[in-house]
Order: sequence, then structure tokens, then C-alpha cells
Amino acid sequence: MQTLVGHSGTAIAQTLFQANPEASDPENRVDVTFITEESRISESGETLWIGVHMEIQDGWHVYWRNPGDSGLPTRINWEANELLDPGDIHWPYPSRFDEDGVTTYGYSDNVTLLVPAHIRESTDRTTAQLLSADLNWLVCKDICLPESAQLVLETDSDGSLLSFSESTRDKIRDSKSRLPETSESWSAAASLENETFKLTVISRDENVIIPDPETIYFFPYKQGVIEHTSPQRTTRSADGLEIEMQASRYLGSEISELQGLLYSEDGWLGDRMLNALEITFPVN
Amino acid sequence: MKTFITTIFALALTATIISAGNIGGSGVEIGESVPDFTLPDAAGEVHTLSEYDDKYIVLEWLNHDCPFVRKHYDTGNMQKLQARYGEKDVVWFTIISSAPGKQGYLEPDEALAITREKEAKPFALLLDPEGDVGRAYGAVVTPHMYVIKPGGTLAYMGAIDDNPSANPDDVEGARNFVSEALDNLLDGRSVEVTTRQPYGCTVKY
Repeated sequence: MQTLVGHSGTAIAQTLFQANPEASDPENRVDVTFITEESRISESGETLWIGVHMEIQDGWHVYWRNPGDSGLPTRINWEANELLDPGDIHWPYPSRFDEDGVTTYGYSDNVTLLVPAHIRESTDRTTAQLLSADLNWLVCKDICLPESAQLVLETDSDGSLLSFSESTRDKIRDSKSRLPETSESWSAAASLENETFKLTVISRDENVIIPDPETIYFFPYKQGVIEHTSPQRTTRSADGLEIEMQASRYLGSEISELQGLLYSEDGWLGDRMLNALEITFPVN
Repeated sequence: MKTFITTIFALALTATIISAGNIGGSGVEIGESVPDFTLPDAAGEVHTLSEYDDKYIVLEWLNHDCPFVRKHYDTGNMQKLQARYGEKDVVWFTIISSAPGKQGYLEPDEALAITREKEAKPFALLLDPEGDVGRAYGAVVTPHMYVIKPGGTLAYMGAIDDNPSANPDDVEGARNFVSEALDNLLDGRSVEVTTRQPYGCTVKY
């Protein structure tokens, strides 16, 4: 892990939280590294997938793009760069944490967040420090601590990425398999009545098997849309599934669509495993 | 929901009505009457919400060890709001619902000391170690904010501002929904934004 330049536990974070005995511990709860899927930067115009690999201490968790009732998603501020143009974070599907009457969405143990970086036209590919970023995240157990790190993606003199190994490639591929995807095999609609959303997904492909309702969970992309703590009731219909969930009391008066990922342990496709189906439900 | 709120109103003083597992589904609604309650402040004085029925009231849920709370106290943002609206006769109650032994819980003398140290300016710092009032209002995070109109109807609930972060630098430039709601009301207008998903640490019931 030579690529980790800034240890995740910066002077700033420690100064800021000196008064808090829980946070003055120099040891952060999350260790973060940049990892890559490839050993070298490929052609201009292509994409380099950068993984932000987070190793999280037992009992603690970090947050998904929608953290749920509390918490914060991890943020990355990239320094401007001539060669690489990083995009938004691609979030693998999260876990649900139910504690003290509060539901949050995030990751425990470890997670690899994915960032596709567009490779620009540039002559110099052997810059030692290719790309730097400041990362900020909140890590929570029964209490929450903000942590941060400064990371640099580095190459050696022949242009090889120091952040690459077979294991980093596997981690990125595994994380990619957890990204939500849209599918033509399913259609979706939703209604909102009596503060309850009813989502309907209908199979449009006879090769797909309708998954077991017991394993279905809808993770909304935005806060303040559904009551995260309320149970979701999923039932089988003739050609799909119906899922009922309570609308959030923070829902504004107008909602035209409900977007998120629909998780199924069984998967949604006939030909390969896809657990997280990205769906936009038009709301009637 | 109406009967539910009436029930809380009648029972809030005497019993724990809502189980900890049910916070998300409980609470109060914009335009509806809020549950009454009686709590001691850090100095030992007892306050009943309905005694301030003719005033605008702010409820602020507090845990001084929560990074999201520190963001607003270390920058002086919360103290500034407390002072500004205190001068305008708004009754600002800060409430601690942390249970004994949990993060943010303070004994009365500790609560008084930290209030002085932080130069906080609430009308009173109320102690709710049983968590009954927090649960009755559906307070999920710190800081979780409520604005109540004279007569006891809820005008705003949710986040303090539109920048969900724990970074003190993000206070400046954020749209503060509490001051906006109070300014709207004090100018005799209706509140533009009445709810926003709150952000923060969970209340340590």
C-alpha cells in the first residue's frame, strides 16, 4: 500500500476534535487507499477506474449516497489534473443498519467506492504524482466521527501505477458487480396515496425469474422521500412485484418520480447475477 | 394522525408513549398542534411548553459531542441565532435527550457549565434523559430543529440548514431554514420551507 501518502488521520482532524476523547485517538477508524483495476494508464479517451478502498474497523460503518436518517456520504475533492478527469462516485449497493429506531444505509467491514476517470490528451504519463484528492467521511458506531485523508495516485518512472496489484483488480471487479444497473427486462410505476408509496415492477422478459419478495429492499437515492424506518411490504403479483412503503414526513408536496435501487438477493436477470436494479418509478 | 396527536397531548406528561423502535413513524406534523411537555432546565427550573403559548418557540436537540452540533457551536452559529431571536422575544429551548451513560448526556451542573463555556444563549436548556419528549416530537438527530407558532402549531421541522455536512466551513453560505422560518413569521408571512430532512448524529436515547 505504498500509494497511501497521507495517513488517514490528518493534523486538522485531530486539532479540531482535541476536546473529544473519542476522537483524539490518532488511529482512525477507517483506512483509505486508492486502488486501480489496471497496471498502466491506457489510451486517451478511455476510462481509468479508480477505487477508493475503505477498510473499516469492526462495529463502525460509513455511508452510502443516501445515508438514511443520519450520517453523511463520503466526499472526494479532486485537485485539477491535466491527464485525468475524475467523475462522480459510483456507489455499490449498501447494507441497511437499524439502530435505536433509526435506519441508515452504508457499509461495514470494507467497501470500494468507484470513480471513473476520463483519460485526457496529454503527453506526460509518468508524473510521479498523477492525481491528488482530499477525502472526507463520517464513520459511526454508537457515536459519529468525521475523518479525512489526502491521497495521491502515483506512478513509477516507467509509467506503471503503484496502486495496482491482482488483488486491487479483483476488489474493483467485485465492487463493479455490486453497482446498480438499469435493465430493459423490468418496467416500473408508482403511486402515492394516503402517505404510502406503492411501487410496481413488472417483468418484460420471460427469461427472468421473479425474485423472492422476502429479500427485496428499495434503497431510495434521496433522503426525505420514504420513512427509512418503516417496513417495506413486498408481495408477488402475476407478472412481478408490488412494494408498499410509507412516505417521509419530510416529503415535499410535489414528487414526480422516485429513484433508487431495488435490491434482491436472488438477482434480477436471467443470464447473470445483478442484485441491484436501478429503477426510476414515475409517480402518478 | 389527529387522534394520535391528541393522545400524546393528553399523556405526554405522565407516560412513555412511543417505543424507541418507532421514532420514524411518530412525531409531529406541520400545521398541527404539538405535544405539550414539562421538563426541568439545567438550573432546576421547570418549564411547561403551553405556558409559552403566546410566543414563537424554537426547539433545538443537542449533543455537544456530535460533530454536526460542534459545527454550529464552534463557529458560533447556534449561539448567534439563539441571541438574535431571544432579543425578538422568541423562546428558544435547547433539549438534551441523551440517556444517562450515552454520548451527550449531561448532569445539570455539567449542562450549566458547558452552556457558559460555549456562550450559548438559549432561553433554557431542558433535560430529557428519559427521551419521552424527543420521541414524542420524532427527534431523530442532533441538531433537529422545530419552530412553533403562538397557539402551539408547528411551523417548521427538520434540518437547521441546506448543507448536510460536519465541516464548520460549510456554515457560511448555507441557507438556514430556522432563521428563515422565524423571519417569515415575524414579518407576518407564511413559512416558505416548512420541512427539510434533518441531518446529524442520531439522538442517543
